[in-house]
Amino acid sequence: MITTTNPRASVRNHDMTAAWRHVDIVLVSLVALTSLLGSLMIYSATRNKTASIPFIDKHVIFVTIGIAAMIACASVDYIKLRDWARLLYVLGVLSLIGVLIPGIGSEHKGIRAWYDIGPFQIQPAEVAKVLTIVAVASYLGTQIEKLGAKQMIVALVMFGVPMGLIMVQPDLGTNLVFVMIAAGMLAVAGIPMRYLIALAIIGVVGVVGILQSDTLDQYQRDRLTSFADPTAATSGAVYNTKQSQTAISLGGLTGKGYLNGEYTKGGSVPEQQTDFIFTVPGEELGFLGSAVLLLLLGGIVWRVWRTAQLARDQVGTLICIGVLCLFVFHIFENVGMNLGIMPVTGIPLPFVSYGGSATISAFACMGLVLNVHMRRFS
Amino acid sequence: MRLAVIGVICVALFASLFVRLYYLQVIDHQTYQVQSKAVHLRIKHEEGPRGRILDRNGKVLVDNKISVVVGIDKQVARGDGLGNGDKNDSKAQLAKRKKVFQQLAGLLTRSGLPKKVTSIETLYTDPRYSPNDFVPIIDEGVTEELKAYLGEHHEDFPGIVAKARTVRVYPYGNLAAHLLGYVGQITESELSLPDVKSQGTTKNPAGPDAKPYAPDDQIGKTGVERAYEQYLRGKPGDTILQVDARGQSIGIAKEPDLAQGDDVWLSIDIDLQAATEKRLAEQIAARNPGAKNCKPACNAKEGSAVIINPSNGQVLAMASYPTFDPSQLVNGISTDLWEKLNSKENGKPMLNRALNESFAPGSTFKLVTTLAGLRTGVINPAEVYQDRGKYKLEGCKAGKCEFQNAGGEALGGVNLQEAITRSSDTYFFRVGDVLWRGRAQYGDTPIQDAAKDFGFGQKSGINLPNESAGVIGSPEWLAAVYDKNPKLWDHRSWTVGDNLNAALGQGLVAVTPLQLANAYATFANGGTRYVPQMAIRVTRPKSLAKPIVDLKNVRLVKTFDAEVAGKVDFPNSDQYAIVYNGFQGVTKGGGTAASSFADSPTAWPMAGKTGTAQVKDKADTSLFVGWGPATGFEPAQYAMVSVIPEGGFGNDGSAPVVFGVLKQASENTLPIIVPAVPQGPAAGTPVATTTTTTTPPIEIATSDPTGAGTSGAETTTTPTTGAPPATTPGSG
Repeated sequence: MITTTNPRASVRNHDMTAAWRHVDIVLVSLVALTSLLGSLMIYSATRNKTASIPFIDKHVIFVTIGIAAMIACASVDYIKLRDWARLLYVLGVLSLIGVLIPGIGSEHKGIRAWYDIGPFQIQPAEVAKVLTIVAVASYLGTQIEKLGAKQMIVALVMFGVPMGLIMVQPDLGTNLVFVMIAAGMLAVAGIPMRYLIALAIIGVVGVVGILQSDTLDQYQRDRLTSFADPTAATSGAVYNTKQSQTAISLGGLTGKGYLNGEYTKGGSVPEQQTDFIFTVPGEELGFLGSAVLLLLLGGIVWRVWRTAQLARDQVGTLICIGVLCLFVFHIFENVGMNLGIMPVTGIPLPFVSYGGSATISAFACMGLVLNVHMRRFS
Repeated sequence: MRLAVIGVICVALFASLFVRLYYLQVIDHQTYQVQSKAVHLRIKHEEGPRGRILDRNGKVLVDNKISVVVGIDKQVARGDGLGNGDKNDSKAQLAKRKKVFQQLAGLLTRSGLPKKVTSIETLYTDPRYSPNDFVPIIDEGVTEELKAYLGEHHEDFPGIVAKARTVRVYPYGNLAAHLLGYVGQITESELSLPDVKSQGTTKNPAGPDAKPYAPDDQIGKTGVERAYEQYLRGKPGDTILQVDARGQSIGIAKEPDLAQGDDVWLSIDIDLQAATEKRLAEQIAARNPGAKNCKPACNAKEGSAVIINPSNGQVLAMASYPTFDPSQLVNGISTDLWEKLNSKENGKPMLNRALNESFAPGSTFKLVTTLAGLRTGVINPAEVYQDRGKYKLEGCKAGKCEFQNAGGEALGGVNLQEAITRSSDTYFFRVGDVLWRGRAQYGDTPIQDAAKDFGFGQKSGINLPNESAGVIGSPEWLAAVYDKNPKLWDHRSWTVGDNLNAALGQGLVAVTPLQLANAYATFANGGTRYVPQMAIRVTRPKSLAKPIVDLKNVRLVKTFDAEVAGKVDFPNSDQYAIVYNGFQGVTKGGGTAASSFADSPTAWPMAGKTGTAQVKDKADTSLFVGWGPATGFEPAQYAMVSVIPEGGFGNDGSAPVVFGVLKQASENTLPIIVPAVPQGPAAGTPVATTTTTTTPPIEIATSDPTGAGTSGAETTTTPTTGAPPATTPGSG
């Protein structure tokens, strides 16, 4: 199938079947650099921590698996993934149900969101995010008739089922990611603006209602509202943000030097290798180093956005938009809370934060984007 | 189109991150740099262990031990959401606190240390503790297992820690408790004491060797602990801790520069002290309402005794009864206990009656009157005076004109020596009468002057807190106190009756037992009055492994030398010899203490004087003061006094205490006291023993069944309160 709507395709006259020739080298390089920088940051944050397997060793394993997942996601034409989309989606939902069953899923700090496999934990919500993106893109991208209320509701249900299950865990941060993905994908898919506005109003009312009701635990409410009114929050949430901002600020323009951050060495920032990983470049590499990291992440986002434009079909575009929303929300929320301008939620920074499921799913997302990019002419 | 909008949103989001990053790291950099210091490090003030208190032979009287205390570090607890413990605490904080305290109470109860949640909550909310304080919950019986458990499970018990602290331990139980004193947390008012202030503050010490105090520090409260605080106190220091996000220590940035305090050697001999306390307590028990020779009935409940070495003024023993157990006070004193230890009904067991209280000396004061009589020439030692049992004031026409011996017994012809030996009251009434009537010639105050030379009416200068000066009334003094508060006194002008009372150690005269012992020590050594000495030296161990008893193993910090306070000169040595013989005769046939001396004779001769001071509506105060060896040619080793209020005659109540103790001392048969608590393996090592209370709790004296104990008759013991004299002249 030749996409005649893309003028550049005919001009370049490439071999349309050799998809691998059209791999986005820029994106791959950006991901590689970001991932390398991330590993260095994790090493700095965890080298003084005692663990049976050092954090950095585990992280290298995650990256390796992630690269494998990326290649796997890129290899099969995403249009074929569309045929399996329903099956994959159901598998994702089942994994979210399974994790809630005591004995199968395991609980940490009151949240039941992990499968224990040996020394590793798998977080099915991370996988479900990717699978849901593929499923919704496949559905909305292949609707022949004009998109309307019906399609919107079907898509919302597809988002809603995993979100409901994640709410039970409960993991508020991941659900916020879902909200952003849904908003982006529905908007780009071409749902009429009046439906989207109505949806936004319902959403705002819903959020206020949830905050007023008892659905959220006190700590979740505190975290979400603390950035608006720091004095009202629990000391824990305020303390984390305060320590994080102080550490970043201490880096100044050029930083304290790699492995030389006082806060990083002393373990003064809680959850530093995961949620607050950005404090490590902040303190040790200063503004210059942190800016480079942000630029690398921004570059990845730019390549994803560009691929969304280049995609040969709507399914490809929507996959890229899903991934884009996921990444932008993760980056903005994570870096934002490190900088004290966003509430504290457990959202990792892609390719930088320590964490198996998040790292692997980020690589898988890149695989999907590469997939769309290299088959833009086929 | 919609894709472009998303692109714009992305650029905006990233731009805002850059702006915030730039603001934090470049513009606001300095502010955070300052803030971060305080978050990062935690300064912990620590005290060095106190020095020990030893007896003259190096036996450890006060040592240190480790006591493990479970408590709440409020700073950490607040960081973990337990709230400040005030009314601003949120519901969530209250709930979390309740949960943690329930767990803690459960753990303590399972460990055999039952504690209620409400009592922990009460402690946590006690406004005495500031938001960063350590709040002690339980300080006794905390096992190593419990300490370890809390250490391993600190996540379940936020802010709750078991920490070891050094407290005082008393190997000899309550022996010498008054003397040794106790240690407690420094109070606001103590922080402004000159010797405390002179050390500077913890932030700004007065010098490299200063020992500044922090508000939670320990300080000597009474006795030797207070008096020798400057030596005993350890050098404090600051530990600078690096703390992590949860306030848990992750390392030490700076070790404290702590040093143990120096060891103070007392002049006390603990074996002699033990014998003195034992004899004194036995005699007080014996002089109960059923005892002989008491009119009205004896009812001894308190007393004191002091032994001084006449050749240098060193105090060898000092006992006060009733006593208390200092180990009860090591972890702070509850209000209940404080009341118990200071209430009149319980006999104020913490009062050191040997120097904090004064008594009418009775006939023991005849030493002073004798000196006054000899100096003025009113006494001719050879002259024989006819003691008819009564003394009639010469030329008296109105008021009380007749004074009589105690019991009215006529002693017949007595010279000075016999008057002392047999304690003729009329002999000394005459001296008092003649001195007052001849005051144009002898001056207003020959008796008071002699008293002053012997050290009465003034603090002896011993280094122990709250010493009483006693009272030596004089015409000038009486006029002054009368003018101050006329309601308390029935007359303003000194009368001949006052002078007769003074001559017999009654009325407006009160002395401390320590003063009395020191006066006789002065006479015994030929007239040199020393400042009574409590400590002989201060040392610092060279090595903790070597026994302290060997002085080669310690570094001498200070030696306390004998200090002369004054001289007492008799007009000539013949007269001194006559008086000396008079006191020697007291323990021999015809002497007032002959019978009690015969009951427990010392190995060498003794001299002394009985005293029986009359107290209105109560049995007499029994006194005896003496010295030995009293051969006249070898130096006396011991001068000893015993004072037992409501103990009857001096010969019956107090003389047996003195002879009983000095008999053993003279025969070298003092029982060796074995410390009840095992002593430390090495000098300065705090002993981690769990034995504490080896002595019975404070004995509570029964209240006076006659009710006399609450009448206003104790004016003779506390004349400094300004109450009018309520006594009549008596004899000894």
